[in-house]
Amino acid sequence: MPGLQHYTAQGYEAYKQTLETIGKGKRVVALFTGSKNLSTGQSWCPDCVVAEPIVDQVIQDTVVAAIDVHFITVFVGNREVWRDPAVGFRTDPSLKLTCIPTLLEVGNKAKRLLEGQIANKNLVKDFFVDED
Amino acid sequence: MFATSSWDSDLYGMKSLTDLFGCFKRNPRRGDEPASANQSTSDSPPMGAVASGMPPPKRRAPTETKTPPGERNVDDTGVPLKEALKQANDAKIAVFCSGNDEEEEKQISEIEAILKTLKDPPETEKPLEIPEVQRIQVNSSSKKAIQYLTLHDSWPLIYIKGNAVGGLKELKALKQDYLKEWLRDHTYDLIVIGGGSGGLAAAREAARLGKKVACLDFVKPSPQGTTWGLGGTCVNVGCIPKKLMHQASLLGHSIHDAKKFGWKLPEGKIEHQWGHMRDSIQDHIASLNWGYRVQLREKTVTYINSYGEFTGPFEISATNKKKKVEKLTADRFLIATGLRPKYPDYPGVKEYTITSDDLFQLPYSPGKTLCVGASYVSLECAGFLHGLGFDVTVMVRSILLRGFDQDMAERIRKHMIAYGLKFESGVPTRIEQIEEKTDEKAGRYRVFWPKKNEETGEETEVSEEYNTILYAIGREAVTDDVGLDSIGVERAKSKKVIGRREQSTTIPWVYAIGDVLEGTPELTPVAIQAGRVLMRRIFEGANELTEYEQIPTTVFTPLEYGCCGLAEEDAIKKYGKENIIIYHNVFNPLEYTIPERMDKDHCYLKLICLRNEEEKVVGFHILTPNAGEVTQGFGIALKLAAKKADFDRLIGIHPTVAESFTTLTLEKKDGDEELQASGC
Repeated sequence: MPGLQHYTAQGYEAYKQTLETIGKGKRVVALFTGSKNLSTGQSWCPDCVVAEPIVDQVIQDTVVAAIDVHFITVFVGNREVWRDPAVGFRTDPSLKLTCIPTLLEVGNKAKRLLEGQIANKNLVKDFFVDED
Repeated sequence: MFATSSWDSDLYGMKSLTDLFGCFKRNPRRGDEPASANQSTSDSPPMGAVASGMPPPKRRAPTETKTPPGERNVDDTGVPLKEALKQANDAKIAVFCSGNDEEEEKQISEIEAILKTLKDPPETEKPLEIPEVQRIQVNSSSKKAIQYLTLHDSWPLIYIKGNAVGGLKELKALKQDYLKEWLRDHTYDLIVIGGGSGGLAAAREAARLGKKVACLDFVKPSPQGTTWGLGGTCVNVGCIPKKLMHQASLLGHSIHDAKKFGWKLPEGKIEHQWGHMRDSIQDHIASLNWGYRVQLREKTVTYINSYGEFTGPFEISATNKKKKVEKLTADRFLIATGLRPKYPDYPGVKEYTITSDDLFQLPYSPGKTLCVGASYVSLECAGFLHGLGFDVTVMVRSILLRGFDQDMAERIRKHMIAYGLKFESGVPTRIEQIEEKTDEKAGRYRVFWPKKNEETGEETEVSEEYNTILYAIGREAVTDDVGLDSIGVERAKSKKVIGRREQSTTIPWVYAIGDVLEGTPELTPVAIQAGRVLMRRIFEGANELTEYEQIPTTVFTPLEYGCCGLAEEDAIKKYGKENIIIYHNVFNPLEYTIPERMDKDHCYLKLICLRNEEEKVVGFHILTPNAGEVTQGFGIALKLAAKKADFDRLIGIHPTVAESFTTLTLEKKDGDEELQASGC
């Protein structure tokens, strides 16, 4: 069992690239979050600042770490890039993101957690563990 | 018996009644008179506001100022109702009493004596603490209200951990070890068995009220192996996929109508793709399943994907997919396990046929289909499958839509026949497989049934080949494997829990709602309402009941049928034929005129009124596109006891079908000819 494999991607193109690298037929989970400010090391999006450490904790949980899943942290860019209505994250029919942070399972439209929900550790764990 | 939920005698406690009859509060003049609805509207315009149709309040009107306790007369003594119910809910053991009664005193002493016998011997480790009995003295009108709320006649009335138990007699009927166990602490305040509409609503409401709640949900696969996620029948294999497939079917007709409205469509055959529709619908369902998971987490309900079974009066054994068993205890339990389709008993039936449990996930396009049964499930499935382009036959044993208005049922049958559906009367006796089905392709089956020759009366076996056989002959409560019998929860012949309101008649800490509560309508919104109201009642002491009458509902046949209140035959039975007056009409929906749809000849509506009660409307029926939307709105009129004159006063919205209810003049009489619709 390879367990959880973690990737990071900066921007939409890199995200698509990462998906290609992972290949088809795999379970892929992605966290879309605001890019970090180089000087402060913090994301410009306050909900993302709350969500990131929670997700980090969950993926290190022994149960979650053992799950066969490819997990991508996707930095969507700075505020200006993200606010652009034409940005790939918003227009891609398989994503149609409306807010960050968003945690979603690629290829499963139904399964997402948004904003404040990602601050709920139990919910994030359910997201990874629950298979139905 | 469930007609009025707001029945109440407390002067200040009941919010809804004082809201409804707020006029009393502002009008001290009427303070001590027995109020009637007529009086309440005396300063309204002559035609009256809606209030003129409201039922007379069943209590004295409240006075403007609250009398200080010291100055009250005898009847006003005691704890106010709202406070009394709250106290009973919070106490470990409480007794409602009237005070100043020797017999009552005797009974309370006996209750206390029974509790003393529960005391552990002195050497016991962690002995059971026997709580003091909290007396709650209430006046006679509060007593009536409490008895109405709990449906217990016994007095003084005992409450244990917030559950009405009954009187001394009912307390004595409880096993001593059960009673002892009841007083111990348990892990959860509430365990809900069944994560369907009712169970989830109840679990969330209880959690909102700060209670520790677990919700168990486990779907046993259908004989065809179909299974699904959290949310119950409605979301997974009922209302939601059914309505979406109904919509898919209606859209097919809209495409044809579009041509008549000037849309140029591509040449060639317009075809429906079963797999595409199924996947889109299943995606939506998956999002609902996940949404429920999220809601439970956010409301801090513990969700357990396991099958729950009572292994003790306060203990559930929960078995998960991997057969791992977990034991859980709670103070209270809610049975909300719902129903599953029934199968007939003959060889091959479970292998070769499907039910509504399987249809919405069917991997292959169903092809030529036989729907067996006259239930609304059968008619709805037959309707949308035909609309999607399949050759569909409905096989019925006797009448359609048992329990519904039979005049309307017959109109539905006529419409469905005109629509191109076939009806056969009979009951299949055997099925032969000609070709096995695969994941890509439906099988081929020959269905045999005896057919009666109309002239000779002779029965001969006939047969027909179908690709899919859908059984929809009724649904059965899933209560056999819950261990209800082992702890003594009384069940009806239908396997449903017999309730005093929603509380088990025999085990007072077990409750049931939705499709598994005997004698209540099997509808999602009923279960949701019952779940929420019950939680407020048992956890907050709310003086609130679910009203199981005048429930609007709709059957999503190709032409939808909406109804609220009584069927014609039920109204006649209840009030007598001479006291019933029925107004009816046919109408032609404007959107059907241009495309010259055959459906236009089938749209029909009727209002069933009481002749001797100012034509109060007791039944509302309509066969129309969008019947659900129309019926939901008019339902409130029936809840407010609207009269025919109120419908007449209402101005219509033109052009709509619903406006027909504002201009009804035609009386329905026996032997009348069929009505013909005229244009506007």
